[in-house]
Amino acid sequence: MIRIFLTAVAVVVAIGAPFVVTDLYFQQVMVIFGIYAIFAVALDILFGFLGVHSFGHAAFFGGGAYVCGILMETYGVSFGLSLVAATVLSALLGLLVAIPALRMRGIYFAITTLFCAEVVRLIVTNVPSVTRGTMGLTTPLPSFPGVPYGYENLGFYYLTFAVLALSCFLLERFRRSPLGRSFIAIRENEQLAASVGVPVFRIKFYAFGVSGGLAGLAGAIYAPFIGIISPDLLSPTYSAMGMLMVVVGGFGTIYGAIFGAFMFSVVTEIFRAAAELRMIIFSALLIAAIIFMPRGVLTPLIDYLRRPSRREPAVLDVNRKDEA
Amino acid sequence: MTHLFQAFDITKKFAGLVALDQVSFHLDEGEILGLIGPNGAGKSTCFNVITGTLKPTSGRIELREQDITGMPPYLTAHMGLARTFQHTTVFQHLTVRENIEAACWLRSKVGLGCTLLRTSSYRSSEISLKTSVDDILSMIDLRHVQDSRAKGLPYGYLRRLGIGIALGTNPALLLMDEPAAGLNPTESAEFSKLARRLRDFGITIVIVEHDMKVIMGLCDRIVVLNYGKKIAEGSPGVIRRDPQVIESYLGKSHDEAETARA
Repeated sequence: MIRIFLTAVAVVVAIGAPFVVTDLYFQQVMVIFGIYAIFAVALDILFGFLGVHSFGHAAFFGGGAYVCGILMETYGVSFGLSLVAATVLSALLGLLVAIPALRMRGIYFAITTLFCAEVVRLIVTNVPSVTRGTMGLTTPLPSFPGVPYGYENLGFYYLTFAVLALSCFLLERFRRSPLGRSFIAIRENEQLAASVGVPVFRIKFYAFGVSGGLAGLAGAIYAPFIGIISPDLLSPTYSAMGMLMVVVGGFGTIYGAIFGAFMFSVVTEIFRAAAELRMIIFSALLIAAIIFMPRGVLTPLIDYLRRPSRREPAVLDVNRKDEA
Repeated sequence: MTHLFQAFDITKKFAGLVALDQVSFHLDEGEILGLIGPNGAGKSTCFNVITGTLKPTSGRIELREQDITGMPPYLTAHMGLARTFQHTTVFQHLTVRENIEAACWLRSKVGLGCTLLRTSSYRSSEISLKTSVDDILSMIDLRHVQDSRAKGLPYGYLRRLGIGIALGTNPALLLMDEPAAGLNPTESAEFSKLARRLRDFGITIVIVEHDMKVIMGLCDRIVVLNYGKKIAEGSPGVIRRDPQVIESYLGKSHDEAETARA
């Protein structure tokens, strides 16, 4: 009941927000928040559900941005088609990275993903004929059906939040299904999950594809919204940004990731004047989160609200049984 | 007569060490087989080879006359082979109920599409899944703590939960690695009762165990390993009197029995 109520409130707020907040600047901040949230949710599929810690998700975010940008700018492909192409290609890139990375464990896995992303960044940097290299690629402003010229922010806003809402809806459904529970089983104990028949490698492999595709979609919306993209988008900074959002927000709950994205975009804007100081603040935030709230800000709260039932504690039961 | 399970001459070498040396044995449906031997005899290796965690160097393993040699664990689980682990291995951060649900992967046959669309086949499978989970919880007698997190439950409960997780796959053959280790006498007796109940339910069981009381009281047949070789096989009565078994456990008569007791 609470769930339905909260969902309804969120939907109404999300639809109404751009009419209340008419300031272009704040609208832009909201779109950026939405894009970051999609990126964070994509990362949470791996971090939170599977316990797979990808350090190279900028490859998919930036990759999606470049695919969309190149298609629109160089080939004049429509925005909608470019989004689809960016998603599919990022998903394929995800699968490609997964093949070597998933054979590694722990820190080696992290290093492999990190360097796969670096490979993508170097390729993009060094083929200026296609990507314009370090000069950056400008992307045309798309037109949205039904949105008058000059109000593109609204188009981006609704597109972003529709994608975010749909992915949250599907993931939440998935998380509470038997299939989703097997995902969690992998995170909890891989060997045990395999012993009950869960095809661990295959699930991780496909999850990498889905996560990469969703991150790519976020990037594909980002590119024409910002208007110019550079290989920086593929740098470890952006991978770290995603991890920061997921870790600070709290992984495994979807909402935690969104909350992390919210905090990140708000803090970014507050400290826009002090760009260098920003990273220091984020680092401090991350360290504080890891020490004081290893499960993130939101996850413990959600867990508390979700506790199945607050019956008598198990320990009492034990005593009773032993006496009997 | 065809057996439920057969191992033919399985050999497993680790570098120079021969952990298993041409071990063969079989299992008939509804049997409880004990696998015993002193420490380092190759019992755990034998388990890992059967479940596919390790590939045998040579030999052949058949379940229901199908070759399962070298299949990875998730596939042997598909074939109807489940195992419990030596230490309490459960999904720590999930509740007891969620533990069993997560283990029921093989029981729910709905795909991703049906899951996301909540089709009627998804809903009906969800209901049947709930019944199976309830059944398993009753079987392992943990229904009263189903909503407690596994982390923090008493040891005896966790061992039963480990068995429950294995039951989630609906196995034909259940391998249990030292299921009674660390249990007090009451809990051991309860465990034996549970094992018999599972057998009556149609599950064939292999137990690796050090607790001789449990093994002798529970098993229909016992296979004894020593230094990777099968040195004896037979009913508990026969094994108890087998001179080679006594020697491997207690040493020769003039040796100090105390030092060899594992």
